[in-house]
Amino acid sequence: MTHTLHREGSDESLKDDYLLLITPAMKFNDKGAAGKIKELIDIVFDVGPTNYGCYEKGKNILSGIDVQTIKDATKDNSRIRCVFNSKEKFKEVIRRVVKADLGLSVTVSGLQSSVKEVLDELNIDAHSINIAMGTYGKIEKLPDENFRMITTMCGHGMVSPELVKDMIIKIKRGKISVSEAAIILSKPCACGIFNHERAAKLLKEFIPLYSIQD
Amino acid sequence: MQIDMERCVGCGRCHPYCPDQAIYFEDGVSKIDEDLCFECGTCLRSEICPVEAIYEVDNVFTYPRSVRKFFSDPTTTHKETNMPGRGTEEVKTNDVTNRFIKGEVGVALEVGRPTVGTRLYEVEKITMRLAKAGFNNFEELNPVSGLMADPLTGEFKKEVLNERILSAIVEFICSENELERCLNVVHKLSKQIDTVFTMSLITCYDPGMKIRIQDTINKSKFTPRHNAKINIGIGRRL
Repeated sequence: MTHTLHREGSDESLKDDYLLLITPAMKFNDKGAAGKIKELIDIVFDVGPTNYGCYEKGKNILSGIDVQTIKDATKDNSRIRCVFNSKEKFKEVIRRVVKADLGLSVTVSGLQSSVKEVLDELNIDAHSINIAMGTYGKIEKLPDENFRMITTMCGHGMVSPELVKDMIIKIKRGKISVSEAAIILSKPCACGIFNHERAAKLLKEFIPLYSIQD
Repeated sequence: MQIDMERCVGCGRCHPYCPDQAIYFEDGVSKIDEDLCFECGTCLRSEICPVEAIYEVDNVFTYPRSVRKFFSDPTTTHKETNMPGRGTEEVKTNDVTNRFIKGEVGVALEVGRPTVGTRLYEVEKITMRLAKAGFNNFEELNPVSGLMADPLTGEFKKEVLNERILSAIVEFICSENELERCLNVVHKLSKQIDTVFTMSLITCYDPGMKIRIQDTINKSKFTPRHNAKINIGIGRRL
């Protein structure tokens, strides 16, 4: 629940980050859903997601699974989880999923203003909303704020702040590029909602703020 | 999770993958602190170990250790919900299930998130304080309900209290009329716990995507983020 919801960062850094979730409702419309999900997978990949995950295999397309593997593993309780990095692609995938009219629930995550803009353009008056109200409690225990902009792209917490630190060290030492680091960071997120292109932008922005010791 | 000491070459490549920094060096090889380990499986799935020394121990699905696995590894499926992940379908299928109707608000406190993690006794602190204030309409399908000895009081089963997990979602419904009081209770309890939580509120839109509880949110001591998860309303029952 809510694993796409609490992504941290400025509005500017979140503006090209759109998430699509398609979910069968258990006991209501999951029977025979596998075939519909496979049809929707074809639509999603035709448009071209930035990342896509497969719970059944515990991997995403950046960590080594392909569309056919995902479809072969699809069951009635499988779900579609993916991320797009442009408004145009996001709008197109929603348009085509709505047109397919397969009866499965569709939720989208992103900045409320950006998502509403797309839905308005498609004449969709949405049903309900899950509002991100923020993080509270003993917040002094939280990892570095810059690291969190990256780690919170995996809502299940699979991307370790230590891995971000490790990537910064390796980039600074010239062992890997920023793009390579962003892909390595995306791999632990089995749901495939980690936007590695956003991660690369963030790394470029905040890497100069850190120094490493030889 | 454990590391085969005979195989481990002490390269340390697995260390940064652990969300809880539970992997450490001892005698030139890597070891996993079993008490800290969430059993999330990230180290194993990373396939970073050059000698395949990381493995899952047999007891990981034995209760109460299994609680760590189910609440930390999103690739496992909860027996209670037949769903992967830590929560429920919540807003994701609300257009079909009508779990949250106009006049009601779904409240979710994801304890331990992001990344900090929690012992389950911290989650119990929250459920018991909520229940005492009258907010004990805990979602039966949420795996947290399966941990409770008494859903009316929010008390957990004793044997799970010390288990350590990445996060658990305390999920309940309150009426729109009670939301202001509920948020005050949550604000107070946020000062009494030794971990963090993210909060989310689920509500149906009024026409034109108007948020019915916006005034209450504005009056509360919480500052919402600008992002949200939105059910576009095209699902239907068979």
